[in-house]
Amino acid sequence: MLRQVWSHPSFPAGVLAVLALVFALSVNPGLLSTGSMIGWSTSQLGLWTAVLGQTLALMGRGIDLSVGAGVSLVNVAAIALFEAGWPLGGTIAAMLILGLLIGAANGVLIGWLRLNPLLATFATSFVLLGLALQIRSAPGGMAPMAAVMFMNGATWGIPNAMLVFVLVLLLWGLVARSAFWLRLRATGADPVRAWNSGLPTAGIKVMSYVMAGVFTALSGLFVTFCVGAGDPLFAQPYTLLTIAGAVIGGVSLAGGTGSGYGAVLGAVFVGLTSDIALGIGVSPFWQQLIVGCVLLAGLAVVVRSGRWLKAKSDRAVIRPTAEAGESAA
Amino acid sequence: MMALARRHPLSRIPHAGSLGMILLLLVAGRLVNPSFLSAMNLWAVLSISALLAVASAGQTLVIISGNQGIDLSVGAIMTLTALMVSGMAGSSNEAVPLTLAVVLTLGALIGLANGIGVRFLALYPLVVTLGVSFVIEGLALVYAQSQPPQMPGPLIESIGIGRFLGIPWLVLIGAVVTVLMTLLLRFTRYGRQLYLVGSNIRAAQMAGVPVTRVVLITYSASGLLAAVAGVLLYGYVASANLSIGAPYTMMAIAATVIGGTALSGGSGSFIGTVLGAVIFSLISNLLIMLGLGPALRYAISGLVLIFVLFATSRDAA
Repeated sequence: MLRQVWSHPSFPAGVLAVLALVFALSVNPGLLSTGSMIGWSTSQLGLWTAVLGQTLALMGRGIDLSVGAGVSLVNVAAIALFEAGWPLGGTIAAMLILGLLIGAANGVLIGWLRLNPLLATFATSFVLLGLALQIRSAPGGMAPMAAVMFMNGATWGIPNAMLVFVLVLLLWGLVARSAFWLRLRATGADPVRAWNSGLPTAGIKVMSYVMAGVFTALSGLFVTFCVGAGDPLFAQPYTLLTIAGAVIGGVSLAGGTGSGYGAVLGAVFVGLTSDIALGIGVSPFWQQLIVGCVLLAGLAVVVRSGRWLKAKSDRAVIRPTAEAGESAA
Repeated sequence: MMALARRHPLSRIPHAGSLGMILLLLVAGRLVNPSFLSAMNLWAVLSISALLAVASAGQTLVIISGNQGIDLSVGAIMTLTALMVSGMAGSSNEAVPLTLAVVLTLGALIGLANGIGVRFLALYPLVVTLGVSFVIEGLALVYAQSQPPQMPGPLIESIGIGRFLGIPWLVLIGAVVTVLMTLLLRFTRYGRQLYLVGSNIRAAQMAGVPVTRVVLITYSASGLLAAVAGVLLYGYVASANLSIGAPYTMMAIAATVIGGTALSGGSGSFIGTVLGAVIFSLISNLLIMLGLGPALRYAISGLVLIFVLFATSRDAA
């Protein structure tokens, strides 16, 4: 039982996130006050949601470099619709469809047209960034006040943004329990064997990006309601931060291993590092260097320790896996 | 697809796909605007291509080295280098040699750090170089804070925009790098070992190839070449800022892959990468000539890039 806990791929991320949280609390005890939790969760909600999309892409041995541009596009498009007088529900529905379309475009390029995921999503990120800049070239606009007030509010002392994220996690729970998730993991772990076992691997890859598009759309909507305005460049850092968060969270770049919850823990850790750097009072100019060093160390520690723990548990169970040989190389 | 292509008579010409794409872009440019084929515009395109080709040189080595080799720190190194040259050399020529020595050494050391992470810590190259690029961006911010960027001195500036015998210095430097890289890949022991490591690292190790040395040299060379590209970029733009190099990371990867170097490693040539860089520069020049704003330029270059990738490099499986 204990072994199952510490050999879980997201165990190192959990430890790191708890350590970071304890450290953050020790430098800034006010972090748990409702006001500062609202500020903290509204600034991170978009990243936490976007990392789930990145996890779907990575799980099928892909990657999504268009996350940042996609979230930005949803953000400015939603603001544009609000300005055109669309109601809240209609806009949310339209943005979810936009997210599906973004994901479908990536999925078709990668799954059916067999372009390399790294380059295909890089190319689509250009298209999405261009569209976002076309809709709005500078920050501005206004989301409906009621929705913004709700997202920046709290219920019984718990920030609404966190409650909304619980719903996102429930949605993720549906994904992670589905037969599709199992097929996607099989495809990511070994596409050839998965295909030989009769799985439609191309279609599964397409589907994984389509679902990633839903999380991109949700992330874009959350950014819209948390920030209250549209900015074509606000979410650009999400692309690399979601990759860092997912990898720290135990999602393997080689596909097939990891979990969405781990990826979220990784993203929480990524977000906490900059909060801590601010909390210990370093100048903002040094902040990025410190965050960079912590992220580099986090990435190295998690990947190394994850492999070490896995090798340990593999030895304990005595399972002849091809993976062990590959990771040793 | 390769098997089909081999039977086609055009495929005997090396890089037929890239050359055809360049011809297509030149014809399209001529139709859009007659001055597209003017000597001035073509030199401008070649200068930008040379800059991108130098930035892609290290990337080409790393991608050939295989085992998921990729260098995401190229752009960050270019930014840091541009800021440091700006801060250390100032607008005089005296400090330039020392500055160049410092930044090129630093670039190689950063590359070495990447190589150590890849080889000794056995981390994914994407993870190591991404993490290292976070750190370098932080360093660049701290450095820019202590040494505000200045205008380049006459020497650096003439490298960036000056000409020698009517040919831009950037193009000459790009040509020298192309010749050196081709010699390095084709005729040196390191070059042959690099392809072996890229195609099958375990077989290479069994055959006695010093794998560790090859990997470390490859990543160090990538850092060094990124630093060279950073100096050239600073001369060309004539100013430095914190995001000056960032776009070059992915552009270098795209140019390399369009040029026929497989992301799976073990194959590819630098001439291909140069042609990939020319294609990339022609596309953006053509879109500027069309008088499009930056937003539509991004969108259309993304669509064209998808088309080019589709035509030149689809995954085998």
